[in-house]
Amino acid sequence: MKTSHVFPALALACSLGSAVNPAKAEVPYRFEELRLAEIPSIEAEPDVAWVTEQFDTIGAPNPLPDSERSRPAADWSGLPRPRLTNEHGHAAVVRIRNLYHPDSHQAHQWLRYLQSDDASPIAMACGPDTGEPRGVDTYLLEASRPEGPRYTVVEAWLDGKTCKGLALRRYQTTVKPLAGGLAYTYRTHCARCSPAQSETLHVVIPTAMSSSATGGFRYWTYLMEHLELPLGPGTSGSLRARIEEGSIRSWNRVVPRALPVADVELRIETSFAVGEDEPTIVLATRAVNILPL
Amino acid sequence: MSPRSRLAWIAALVAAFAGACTSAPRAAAPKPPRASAAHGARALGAAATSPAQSDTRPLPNPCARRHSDAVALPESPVRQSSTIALARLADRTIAYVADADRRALHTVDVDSRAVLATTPLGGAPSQLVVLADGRVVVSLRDANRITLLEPAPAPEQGLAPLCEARTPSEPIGLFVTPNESTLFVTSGWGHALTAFAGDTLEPRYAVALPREPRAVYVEPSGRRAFVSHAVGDQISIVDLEDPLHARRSVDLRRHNGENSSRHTGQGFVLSALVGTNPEHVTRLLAPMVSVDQDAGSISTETYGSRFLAAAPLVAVVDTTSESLLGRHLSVLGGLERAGGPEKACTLPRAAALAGDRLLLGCLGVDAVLELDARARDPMHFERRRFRVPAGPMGIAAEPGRERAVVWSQFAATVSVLDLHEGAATKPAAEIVVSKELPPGLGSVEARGRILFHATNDPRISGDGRACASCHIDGREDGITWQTPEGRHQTIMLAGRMNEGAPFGWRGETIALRHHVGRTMKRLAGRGVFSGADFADLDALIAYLKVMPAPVRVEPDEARRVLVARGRELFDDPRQGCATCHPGGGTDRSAYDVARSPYHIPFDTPSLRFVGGTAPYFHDGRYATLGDLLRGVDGTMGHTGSLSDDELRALEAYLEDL
Repeated sequence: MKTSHVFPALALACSLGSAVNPAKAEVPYRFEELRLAEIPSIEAEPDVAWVTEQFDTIGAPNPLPDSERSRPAADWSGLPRPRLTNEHGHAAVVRIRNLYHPDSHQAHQWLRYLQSDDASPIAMACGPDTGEPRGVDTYLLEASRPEGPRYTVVEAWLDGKTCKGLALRRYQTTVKPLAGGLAYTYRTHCARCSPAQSETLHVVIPTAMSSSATGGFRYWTYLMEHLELPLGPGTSGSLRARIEEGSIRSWNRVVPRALPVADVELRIETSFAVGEDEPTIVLATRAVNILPL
Repeated sequence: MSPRSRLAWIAALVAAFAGACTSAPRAAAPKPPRASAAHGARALGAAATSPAQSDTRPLPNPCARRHSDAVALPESPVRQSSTIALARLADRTIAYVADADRRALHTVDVDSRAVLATTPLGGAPSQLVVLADGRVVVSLRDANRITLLEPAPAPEQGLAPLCEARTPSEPIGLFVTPNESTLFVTSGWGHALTAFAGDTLEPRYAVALPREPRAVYVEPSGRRAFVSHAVGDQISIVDLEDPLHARRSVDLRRHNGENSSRHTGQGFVLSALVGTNPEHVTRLLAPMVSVDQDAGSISTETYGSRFLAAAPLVAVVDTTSESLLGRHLSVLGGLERAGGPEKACTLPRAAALAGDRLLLGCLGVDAVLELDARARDPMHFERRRFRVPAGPMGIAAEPGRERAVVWSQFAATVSVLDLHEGAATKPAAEIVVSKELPPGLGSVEARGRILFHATNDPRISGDGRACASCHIDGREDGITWQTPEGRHQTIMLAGRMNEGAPFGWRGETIALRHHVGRTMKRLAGRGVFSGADFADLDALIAYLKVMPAPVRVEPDEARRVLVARGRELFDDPRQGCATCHPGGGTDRSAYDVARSPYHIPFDTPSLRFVGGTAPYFHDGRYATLGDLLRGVDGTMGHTGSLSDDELRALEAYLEDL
């Protein structure tokens, strides 16, 4: 129970031909071996504790805690621009957190559809009149980077007046492409967390028609989504995503090697019994038919 | 149960079985000689030992092999029982099949697809396991015995009985420890795990368990036994090193991160997922079904939720932490995520592991699912499924040959599955062991049995529940369902269906046909309408009347005295029990025993087999019979003046009904 499986892009390509035939909807899963040690791991602090609903003395929202202002300032101009791809053609996501509920997952998960000024992607401007500090997450996937794929995460308070950010958490890691580039993955290790929360598997995939993951998702945008699965001892997780061919088509603009354009299902299962040496990761894909809504 | 009472229970149980070892055989054939008291088991079919021999030398072990010819041996050690097991004889693969309907053990050549022999047994076999030397242990459910058989030199000659031993009521699951020093047996109705000496079948000890234990798995170290239960939200863990054999459990009530109104049962099988170290099994897989007794029911006319009441799952037990891997069961998506009523495995009855694949046999849909055993919940990672004949009750895998055999009890057929990737999902071969209906089960009843277990019949339910979903083995699931009239407990069927009208907790119907049809509608089924439906309804009812009742065990003398005293109290007009339950049955009347503000009368149920149907009262408010007897004084008989000893006697009588 030490190895996991990934299927190669070639196998996916072979199976996709049958995906369009409804009579062959039950295409078998494809598996390929993957060793845990091959998944890059990085030390990361626990999730940022975003403080909610702070108000100043006259009741105006003031979400940036004073304690956070003591953090060293970061130059926002060095961070990814808020658009689907950055100037180099890499996939980037900027999520501006809800002004009143910066820690609320619920407040963010519908942003993909609402397209409000809190939605991602949006344009941002800095200046004296641009409002209060906001929580901002940025994610940059450099899948086509010549030195190898890389992923950058920055979570910060952005002061729109000064155009400066206060980074709460920032890390950069190489990522491992799975399934021929259908997914990119890495691990975070948290030394200060409980054993069950000490290890997390992160998976970045094209935006799915439907997806679920035991550890939840970090964001979900038009281009890509970032899901998490537990890897700590005593935990188990399951990720299931059904990705339409339209998403694959968009994805092909940011990955180094184009994937076959077809509907596909991605499965990742993680489990780690306390008495085992390391977690088991199972990864499989198969061609499917995703019926239009 | 306190340590003291546990000790007393164990002592009584062991004494009862030890005493049974020298008793006359009841049903085994051929007639065996009396066994020596030096051995726990009774010898069967052995040549009589001469007096001179018995005077001067130790008596031969009646359970030992009696010939030295080569017999079929298990290729890889499968210690856990099933209704079907494989062994190899030269280049032949032999399947032994426990056929409960025909009270026989079939010997089948898997390669030539031939039934080589049929060995009659002294009872209906539940399961079997093949020992390393080729002998076969069989549990005889309706005979309260296990029996040990030896294959004849030629498999066409069947097997010969060697010895047998008594068990608590309804022996089902078997497990042989790696060195074969101990054989563990679960007893369903007797709710016990009994350890026998592997070489002599002499009883060593017994451990009381919660209701309806089924499969047993003992870890390679021999320290703990894990037992699944057909009802009751738990997997029992018995500490085998503890002198008192303390019992713990894995709690299966946590769903989606919280304790909810869901219950988890149907635990008929339990498989160990062997990883890189076979000596250290870290996970057990327990295919089960979670049902919601409450959700959405208050404003409907259903038992439980109209939607997603039943959610099949495979509970993965972390054996080190003795908890669920992932801490809770996930039933999000419920039945639909498992394929909907037409595909979901809501009656899991057989399982075997083939590498990292869990083969799961499902009644109702009559399929074997190939699941990824490494998944968080393998039930939701189906790799493919095989259609098999009706009633898959046992699977044995032959991983080295990428194949498995399946025993379908209702169709009396052994199927051979090709497990190679890309192979067809219909059986590579089907071997019918008998084309004749078994004794006591006519074509109408046989049809009724299939209907009773049908999980995708829109006439019966709207959410894929079968009759057998709640009436497990024709009994009940211990669940009190939310209904428009308040909480009502599933009621026992097996053994009570000939008691007559009225039916239902409120005695609302006087015709069984009407009651069954009404129940179907409450399950959101469409009921019955056409002539063909009526024929099926008659078949279902015919089966209800012949489904096997629980098997009682003969009480010892002390217990007999206690029960007799309890009967006196029961019949005593001062207690008034027999007024409404004459002879333990029913007076067919209804009474306001709950004393609710609404004065709702409840039908007097029969008390047949009431001892194994906890919890008690129509709404399950009493956990034990003792609680019931103490709690209903004045509303249901008069027990307030009885001493503790008298209450215990009364309880014993009820348990014996």
